[in-house]
Amino acid sequence: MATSQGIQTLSLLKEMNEEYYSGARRAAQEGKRVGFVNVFAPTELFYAMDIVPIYPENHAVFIQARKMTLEVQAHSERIGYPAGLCSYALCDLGYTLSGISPVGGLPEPDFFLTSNSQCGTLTKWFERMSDHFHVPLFVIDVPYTGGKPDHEHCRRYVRSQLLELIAFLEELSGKRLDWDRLKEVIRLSNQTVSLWEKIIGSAKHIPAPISVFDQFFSMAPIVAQRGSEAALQFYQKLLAEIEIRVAEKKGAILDERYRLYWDSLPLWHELKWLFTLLTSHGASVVSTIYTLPWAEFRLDPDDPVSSWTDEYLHYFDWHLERRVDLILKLAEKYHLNGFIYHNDRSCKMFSTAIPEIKRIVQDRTGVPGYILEADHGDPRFYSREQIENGVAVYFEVLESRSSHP
Amino acid sequence: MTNTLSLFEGVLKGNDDRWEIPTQQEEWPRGNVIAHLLPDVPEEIIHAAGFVPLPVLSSDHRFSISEGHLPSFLCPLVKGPFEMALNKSLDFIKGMAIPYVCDSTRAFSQVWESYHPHLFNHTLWLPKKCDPRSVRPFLIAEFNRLKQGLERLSGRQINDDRLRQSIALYNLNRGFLRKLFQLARAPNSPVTYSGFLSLVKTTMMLPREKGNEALAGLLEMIRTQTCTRKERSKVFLFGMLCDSSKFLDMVAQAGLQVVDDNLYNGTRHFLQDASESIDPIEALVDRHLSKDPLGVYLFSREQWSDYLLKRMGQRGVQGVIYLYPRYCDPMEFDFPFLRGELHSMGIPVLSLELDFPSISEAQMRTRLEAFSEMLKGGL
Repeated sequence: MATSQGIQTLSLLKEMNEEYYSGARRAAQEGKRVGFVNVFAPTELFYAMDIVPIYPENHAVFIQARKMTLEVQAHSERIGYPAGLCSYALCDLGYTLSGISPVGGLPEPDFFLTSNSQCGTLTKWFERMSDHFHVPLFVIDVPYTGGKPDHEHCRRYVRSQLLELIAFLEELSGKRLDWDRLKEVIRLSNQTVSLWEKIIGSAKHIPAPISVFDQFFSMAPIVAQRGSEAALQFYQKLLAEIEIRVAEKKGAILDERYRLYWDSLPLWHELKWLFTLLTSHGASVVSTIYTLPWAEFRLDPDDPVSSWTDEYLHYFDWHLERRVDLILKLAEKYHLNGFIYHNDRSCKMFSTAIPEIKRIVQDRTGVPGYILEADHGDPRFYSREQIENGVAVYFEVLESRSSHP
Repeated sequence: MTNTLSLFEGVLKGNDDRWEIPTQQEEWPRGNVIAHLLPDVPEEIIHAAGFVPLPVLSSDHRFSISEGHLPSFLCPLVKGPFEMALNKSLDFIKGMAIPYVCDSTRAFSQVWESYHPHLFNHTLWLPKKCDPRSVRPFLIAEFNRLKQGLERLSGRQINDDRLRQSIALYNLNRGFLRKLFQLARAPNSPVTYSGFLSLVKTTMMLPREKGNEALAGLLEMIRTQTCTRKERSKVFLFGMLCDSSKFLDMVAQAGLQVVDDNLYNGTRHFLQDASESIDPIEALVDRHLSKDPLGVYLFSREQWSDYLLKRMGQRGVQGVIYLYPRYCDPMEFDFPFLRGELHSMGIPVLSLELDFPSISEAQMRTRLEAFSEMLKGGL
């Protein structure tokens, strides 16, 4: 049976995350403005303007990873939000109603910022949260172009909203954006993104020195703190350790037999269990769509507004065709021989196209995929036994293919 | 015309509730129909391009073929059309326009295109925002993108006069429906709200030229008719689509009188006209931006409050039936907030998941009756 081989640098994350949240609370007490923003927000802008970005999605992940989902969601369900809505949203709405938080609570927001480029759920979720706190909500409304060739009216529309956002933040914070400072933050951000790209790209080695589970654990700083020295230093250390593992051929698991792709969101409350389950079959999950967006893009320090416009229009919009193309590229780069698609009960955006994506990828690669029915946060929507059985059958299928090529 | 008029008469009286696409294909010229999902696709542009716009509605939520192709937890408003396509009920369409208004329509449009690459497929990028200042230029360009796509498909230009003629035709239709709406809300009218909503759905699924002629005849026919009904509690139907006469009959039998709605197959379809005197694309954009708040778009708390206060007050609404399709995220997210707003106005809310046949009719009847009793002060 294969076993895991942990990465030491990841042990720094606990302290780093604690410092991020306690630092945010301190900054708010000192009078800094606080924005509750979504994970694809232009983080660099906030750091350049001394605004503290808080990510409700990340906060929900902490709730779910600590297995507090049902305790916190109960508060949102009690007032009429049905289970089955995005469990991130239900956790954060539950937090706003109950104050229950695994990170010691969040500072009070001065504004909310989100976009529908990622999903429409975010706008509803942030609408309801901004109502609760009685603070303004700023939405970057992004036409759904599926990353297809540019349409000038879409670019104009998104760009004009980004300029409105800057004006909104200047008014809120009472000071003008220092574009030189923004350049410096972008320089740090680009460096950090390059490190992240190398870290997740290292999984192309056989054995893969880092698994997707490690990526899930270590992605909070690239989402929330890129553009800060703290994030840069953390990923420098992580990459250094990974490079040693590559040289030593030390894999994320021992006896790596299968190299899998993971589609859609993680099962945050089951990461350890699922990792152990897959490891017991000799499977290392080496690639995923979920951690990629923060590795792909570099901002132009001389024209960040155009870069952010591109991000919103192209990089955060996973159209079916783009997802298929991406998976096929990843299959080649990472030497994949299996595909797991998480049909996530409370994420319609990611899940709707999964049966069709699985079919096309199977047609093109000849490798069957497995649709794992679960939820990224709510354990009521699946059973471990069902997943164990499904996974076992899937590896039997993969095994029979390798026995009878 | 006579046939259409008798059909309308039957629908209005509740005698014909089976006006479904599979049985009525002869109404549409083969190869000339552009189907679309709801809401808010500007049908006038499709019409002006020489095609027949057809909203794909399906009140039958028994999904069998589509189950292996789409997740089970997807909204019936998109699963229904997909089921119909898979069972070949939509084989006669030339294209499909899908409005991007929520995650379900956005993700579904990709799957649809993947399954139907031979069709003209157009996803209409309707903005989340409805603030004319920031949205209007974008939406003008976006409606023009639809126009240009249809021009390429048909091989001929849509000039302004042609589009204005289509707008006039649709305005006429909306005008007829508004007259019927006034009748449906009156206590002594021969038109029931149930019949009225069924009729709206029927007219939506007919070429407008044919529908308008029959609507004119129908209005003339019922102009002098009256009917005596008991005074009942006035309710507002809040939701997206309600095309089940079975449900509406239950509402009436429970002692409730529907006096208003915000449904896709209700007031959202006909309350606002488009101007016939300005640039026609701009007129359609202005019409879109003047529509009532809807959960799939972005409206502030104040805009919602103003809308609810005005609308409920105008109609003397005593209760709201909040009808959401199963798995509708926007409506589920809005429910606690809207219920709070309505409660603060002293208006009770009954929330119902309208998903025949999976819901229990008996249970729904009981809940409606209890709600009716409460409105009468009996509970």
